[in-house]
Amino acid sequence: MIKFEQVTKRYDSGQEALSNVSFHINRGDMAFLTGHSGAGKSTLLKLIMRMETPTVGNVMIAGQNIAQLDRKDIPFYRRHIGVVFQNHQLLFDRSVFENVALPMRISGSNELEIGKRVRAALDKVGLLHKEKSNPIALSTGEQQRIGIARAVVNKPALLLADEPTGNLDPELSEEIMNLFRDFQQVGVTVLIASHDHELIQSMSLPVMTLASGELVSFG
Amino acid sequence: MIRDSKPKQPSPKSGAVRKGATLKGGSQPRKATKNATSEKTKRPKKPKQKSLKSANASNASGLLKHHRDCIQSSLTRIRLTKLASLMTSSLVAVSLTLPMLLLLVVSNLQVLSAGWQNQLSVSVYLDVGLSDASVAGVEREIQQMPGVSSQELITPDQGLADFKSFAGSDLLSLFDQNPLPAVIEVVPLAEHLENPQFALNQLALKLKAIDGVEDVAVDLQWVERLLNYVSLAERFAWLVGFLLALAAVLAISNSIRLEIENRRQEIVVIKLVGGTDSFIRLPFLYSGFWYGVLGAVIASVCLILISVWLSPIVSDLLFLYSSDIDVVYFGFSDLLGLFSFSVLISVLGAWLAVYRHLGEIEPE
Repeated sequence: MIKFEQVTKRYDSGQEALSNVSFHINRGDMAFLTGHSGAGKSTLLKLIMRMETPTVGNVMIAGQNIAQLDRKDIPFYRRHIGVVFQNHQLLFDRSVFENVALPMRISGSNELEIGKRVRAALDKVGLLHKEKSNPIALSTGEQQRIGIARAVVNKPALLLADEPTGNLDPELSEEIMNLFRDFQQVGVTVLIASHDHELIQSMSLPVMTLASGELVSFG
Repeated sequence: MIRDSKPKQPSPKSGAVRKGATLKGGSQPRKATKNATSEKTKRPKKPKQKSLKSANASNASGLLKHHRDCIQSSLTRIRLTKLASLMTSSLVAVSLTLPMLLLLVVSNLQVLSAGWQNQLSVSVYLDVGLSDASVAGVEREIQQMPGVSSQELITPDQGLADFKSFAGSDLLSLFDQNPLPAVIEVVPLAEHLENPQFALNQLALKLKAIDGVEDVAVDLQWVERLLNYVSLAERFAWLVGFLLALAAVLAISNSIRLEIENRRQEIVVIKLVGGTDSFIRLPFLYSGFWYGVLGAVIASVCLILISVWLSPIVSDLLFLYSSDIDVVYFGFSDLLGLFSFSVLISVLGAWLAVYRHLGEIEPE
């Protein structure tokens, strides 16, 4: 599903964020991406999101070299990826329902379908009763779960999470990890960037470790 | 209290019920069985095709909904930022009102001077003390000239009476004799007025050659000058209109730029979850549209008020000139044009801002 072939990313400033990184995550797998801040985790995720293109090497997603995507194709590509952000990136000018509905509105789904899928996603994260609230009124953990609901509402093939448990206590973190587990069990490929070692160790999942741009271990 | 507790009670229940339902046989597990049955090798291409197709198929209703949402949300946003929106729209209104007023004045002057041009006459001054028989001879000669429509004799006595009533004094009684000559007002044929300057000058030369004619006065030059001034004013109006429209475009563009800046986070999120440029663009274009509509409404009200305010003075003035020409005001088509132009420049301004600034906003 995600295949990096000797990927190097050098920014214009000359800083090399990733050096010769190669790995392959199979469809339906779930893996952790870890490393100190500045090790290249964000760059790796950005490359998958096609927010950046590699300087050298290929990023293959579902068998396609995404560097070859036209600018106008990028939005359609991103619709296959659900992203959970560390700072959840919710919009406070609309209800929880509308936040979760956003990806579906963008892809032009009809109202009936939107209502069904948004409620299913909210139900999955246990916040169906909050659909009419403003996300600003929710706790950090709840906001993060809304972010997850938004990431999965379009039934993406690939789920990326950038420090999804960054500000959460261990109990909430575990809950969220279990959610990701559930998604993986229904066939979604999940990649989670995190530096929460305890959590990673408790999950017994494949772990990719980055250190100053190099992939030092994967397994 | 009762109202509060009512919705609260069922909602967790229904949530719990639905949650159970989803776990047993809801959408997610159904997906699991689907995945289990579909082969792994097929999956890579399948979701892409499916969602590209579904994007196209459901686009009609989804796009319509997006348009409706954008119309609504941009209106709401304008209502929320009343003062700022009103100022932007007022700028559009001013930039429309001023050139429209100038053009109104110009078109009225054009109608008026066209009327005057048709009332042109050539004054033929005869020698003082010319006998009635000679005057009649001159009249006959003028009648035979080509290009003459009609003539009217003003005898010295008539001239004296006119002068008295006009000047209101008996100044001319100081003379022993009536010092005024007989005057014949010659009205040229209308078809000669296509090139009035030339035709009238020709006529004047011929009239002057007649025996007993002292002088010929062609009353044309001031009308010619006026016409020139009017066409100058018309060009000036268009120039002012163009410059003000440019200013309006820039002002709208600036307002939309601020709006884009305020909604940066929203744009970033939409880009991250796969929003196309046109999806992101639309609400801002609608904002521009509303600025244009609002500006046109303000401009129309201003123009109507100004017309009402000025019309008594204008009619008095026209009455004094004893003109039977109707004043030109704004018609329906003018207001329609005003609306279209206003919306056009406003959407153009929004377009400019959107093209310049949306590309700059990329998720980090």
